[in-house]
Amino acid sequence: MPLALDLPQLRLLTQALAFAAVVLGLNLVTGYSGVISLAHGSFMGLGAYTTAILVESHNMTYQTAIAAAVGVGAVAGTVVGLSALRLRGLAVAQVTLGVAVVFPILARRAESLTGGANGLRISYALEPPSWTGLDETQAHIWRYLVVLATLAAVLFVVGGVTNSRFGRALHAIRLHEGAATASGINVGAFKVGAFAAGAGIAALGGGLLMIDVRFVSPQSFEIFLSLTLIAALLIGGVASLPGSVIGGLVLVYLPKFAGDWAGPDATVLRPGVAFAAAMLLAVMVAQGGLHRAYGRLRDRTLASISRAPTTTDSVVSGPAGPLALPSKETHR
Amino acid sequence: MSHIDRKLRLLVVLVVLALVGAACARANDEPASSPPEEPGTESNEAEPDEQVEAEPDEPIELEPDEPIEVEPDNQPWTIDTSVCPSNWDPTTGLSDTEVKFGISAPQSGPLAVLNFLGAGIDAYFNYANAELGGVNGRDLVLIRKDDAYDPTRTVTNVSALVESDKVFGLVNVLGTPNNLAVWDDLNAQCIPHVFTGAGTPEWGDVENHPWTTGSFMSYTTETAMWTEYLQSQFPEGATVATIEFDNEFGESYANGFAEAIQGTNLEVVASAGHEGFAPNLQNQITTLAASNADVLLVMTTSTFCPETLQRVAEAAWEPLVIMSATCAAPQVTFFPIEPAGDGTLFVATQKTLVADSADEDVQFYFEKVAQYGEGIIPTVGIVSTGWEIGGALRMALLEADASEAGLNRVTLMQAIRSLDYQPPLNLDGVPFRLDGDVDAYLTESGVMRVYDVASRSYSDASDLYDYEGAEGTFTSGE
Repeated sequence: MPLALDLPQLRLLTQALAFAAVVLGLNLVTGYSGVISLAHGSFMGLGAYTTAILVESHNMTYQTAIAAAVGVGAVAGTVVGLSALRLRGLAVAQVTLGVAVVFPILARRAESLTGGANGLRISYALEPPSWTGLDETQAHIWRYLVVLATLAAVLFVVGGVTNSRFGRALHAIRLHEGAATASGINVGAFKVGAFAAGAGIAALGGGLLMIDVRFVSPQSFEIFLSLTLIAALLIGGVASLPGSVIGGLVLVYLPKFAGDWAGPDATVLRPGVAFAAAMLLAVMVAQGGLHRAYGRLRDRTLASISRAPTTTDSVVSGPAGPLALPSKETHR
Repeated sequence: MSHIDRKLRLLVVLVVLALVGAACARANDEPASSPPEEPGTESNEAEPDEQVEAEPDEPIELEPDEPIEVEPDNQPWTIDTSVCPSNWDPTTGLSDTEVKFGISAPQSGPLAVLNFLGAGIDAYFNYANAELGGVNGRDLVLIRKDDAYDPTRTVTNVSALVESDKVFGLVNVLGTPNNLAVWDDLNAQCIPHVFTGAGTPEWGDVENHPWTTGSFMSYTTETAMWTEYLQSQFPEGATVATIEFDNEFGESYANGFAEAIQGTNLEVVASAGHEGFAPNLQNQITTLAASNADVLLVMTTSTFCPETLQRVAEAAWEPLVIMSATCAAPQVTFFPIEPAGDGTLFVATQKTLVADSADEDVQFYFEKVAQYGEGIIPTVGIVSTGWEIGGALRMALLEADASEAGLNRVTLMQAIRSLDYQPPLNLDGVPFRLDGDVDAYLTESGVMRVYDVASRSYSDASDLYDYEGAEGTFTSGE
C-alpha cells in the first residue's frame, strides 16, 4: 500500500508517476506512431518551467498552471511535429535533437523569466484541502494522490484514444507509412496530432513533477534526459500503457538502485555501467519491454502448466527486436 | 520488422554508448577538476580543541551598522530556533556512538569526478574515527548519495537523508542549483546545511539562511584576485578576452569579474561561451584570438581547460592566461597538451600537493589518504578539499561538544559560524574563518600560482592576497 510508505519513498513514487506521464507522451509519438522524438525531455522541461513561472511569479494555483503548461506543451509539440511532415525517420529525430540541445540554453539565457542557470524555486506548496482530513505533515500524501489521479485519468484517455480509429491509424503509420497513405489515412495530420498530444502529456508530466520537487533548473532538462526517456520507453514497453508506467518507475528507481548497488566509493564508472547493463538486458531479454516480457513469461508458465507447449513456441518465435509488437492476441 | 524498429534498435545502442562514453570520459577525468579551492582544516597531530580556541590576533573589523558583535569565545551570534518545526529535535542524528551526516553529489553523469570531494570527506572521517576517537568517542558517519548533478534528484536525496536516514546535518552538497533547490526547506526545518560545494556568493546569506554556510572560495573573491594581479602586471591597462562555460559556473565568474574591474583600466573586449557538450573550442578561441587581447580568462572547467590552452597555443596569439582554480590538476590540464600551457596562472589556497613535498603536513596527508581513502588520488585538489572540509567539520563538532549545552544542531551552527582555524594543507595566512553575521565566507585569501611546463611544477606568482572578511555577507539585493 503506497500510503504506508514513508515520506521520501512516497515522494520518489510521486516523481516516478510524473515521469510515467512523460514516458506516456513519448510513447504516443515514438511508440504508437513510430516517429523518434528526442525532444520529450524539453517538452517536460517546458511544462515544468511553465508551471513554476505561473505559480511562483503569477500566483496561479497549480491546477491552472499545469493546465496552461499542457497547452504550451501542445503548441510546442505542434510546431515540432510540423517538421515531421516533410521529414522522415532519423531526419525527424535530428530536428528533435536540435530542440533538446537548444532548450536548456534558452532556459539559461531567459534569466528574467526562468531564473537562469540558478533555476527557479516555487515557494508555495500544494497543501491538502481540509475535507481530506490530512494535516500539514501529510501533505505529501495529498500530492501523491493528485499526481496519481491525474496520471490515471490521462492513461484512461490515452487508452481510449489508442484503441480508437485514431490509435489504429497511428499503428498503421508506424508499420508502413505508404500503406497507411494508400488506405486513406492523412499521415501528416495524424503525426502532428500525435506530436501535439505527446508533447502536451510530457509537459503535464513536467508540471506534475513540480508539485513534488518545486524547483526547476536547466540542469534537470539537459539532452541526457531525452536519451534516458527513450531508454525508459524501451525498457518499459513500446506502445504499451503499463509499459509507460514501468518506464517512469525505471527512470526514477533504476539510477537510484544502480547508485546504491555501486556504492559511493565505487569507481565512478559503476552506476553508469549498471544503468547501461540494465538497458541492454531489457532490450535483449525483455524484447518489447518489461511489460511484454511479463506477458510472455505468464503465457509460458500457463502453457507449461497446461502442457500445451505450442502456444509458447508461437510466442517465442514471434517477431524479434526491441520494438517488435506482439500480435494482438498475445498482448491482450 | 519495419525499418523504424531497426533505427530504434540502433538508437538503443547509441544511447548505451553515450552512457558508457560519459562514464569513461569521467574516468579519464578523474584527476581533473579540483573544485574551486579552498577550505581546509584538519587536525593532524595537533589537539583540535586547542586549535579551535586559538584566537585570531586581530579581531575582525565590525561594520558599524552591525548590531551584533561577535567574539570567537562567547558566541553572541545566535540562531533563532523559535521558528523551527514543533517536532524538531536538535539532537536528531546524534547518539552516544555516532554523529551522522549526509551528502548528495554527482557519482554518475558527466560531472561524476566531483564524487572525489565526498571521498575526501569520507577518508578524513575514517582517519578521525580510527586515530582521533571521532568526536569524543562518537564516530563520524557520512551517508553519500548520487544525484548526477540533477537538482531534482538532490531534492529526493536530501529528503531521504533527512526523513529516513535521520542525519544530523548535510555537508558539502554539490552544485549551485542543487543547493538552492534544498536550502529553503533545510532552513525551515532547522537542519545544518554546511560547507555547501558551490562557489556562488549566495551561501553568505546569514540573515535569511542561518543554517547554510559555504565552503569554496566565492568566484567573486577569485575574480577580485585576478583583477588585482592584472592591475599589478598591466599598470597601463589591458584588454581582456574571456571564455565561459555556459552555465551558472561560468556566469558567476563573468559577473564577478565584471564587477571587480569597475573603475579599473581593464577592459573586456571579447567573450565566447560554450556548452557542456561542445566537441572542441576551436571556433571560440579563433574568435577570441582575433581580438588580440592582452589577457585570456578561462572561466570554464574540467577537460575544457586543456582544450582552451591547446587551441590558444595553435593560434598566433600569446595572451597572459588566467584560468579557474578548478582547472588546476596537472594530470588533466597540463600533461596531455605539453608543451602548451606554460605560464598559465590560477588562484591557489592550498600548498602544492606533490609526492616529494618537504612539507610535513602534506606528507602526513599523503600517508593518511593512502591508509584511509582506498582508491582515491591524494594529489587531486578536490580530494584534499574534501579532506579539509572533513577536518573543519570535526573541529566545529568538538567545539560544540565542549559548549555548555553540549553538541546539538544549534551549538554546531554557532561553532561553525565562529570557526577560525589555519588548515594544515592551506598556505600560511589562508585561514578558514567565519564570523557570525559579519563574515559569512570561509576562504577569502590566496595567491596567484603559475605553471612551468619544463619542470612540470607550480610556483607562486604573487604575494598573498588577503581579502579575509572583505566579502562580508550576501545581500540578495545586490
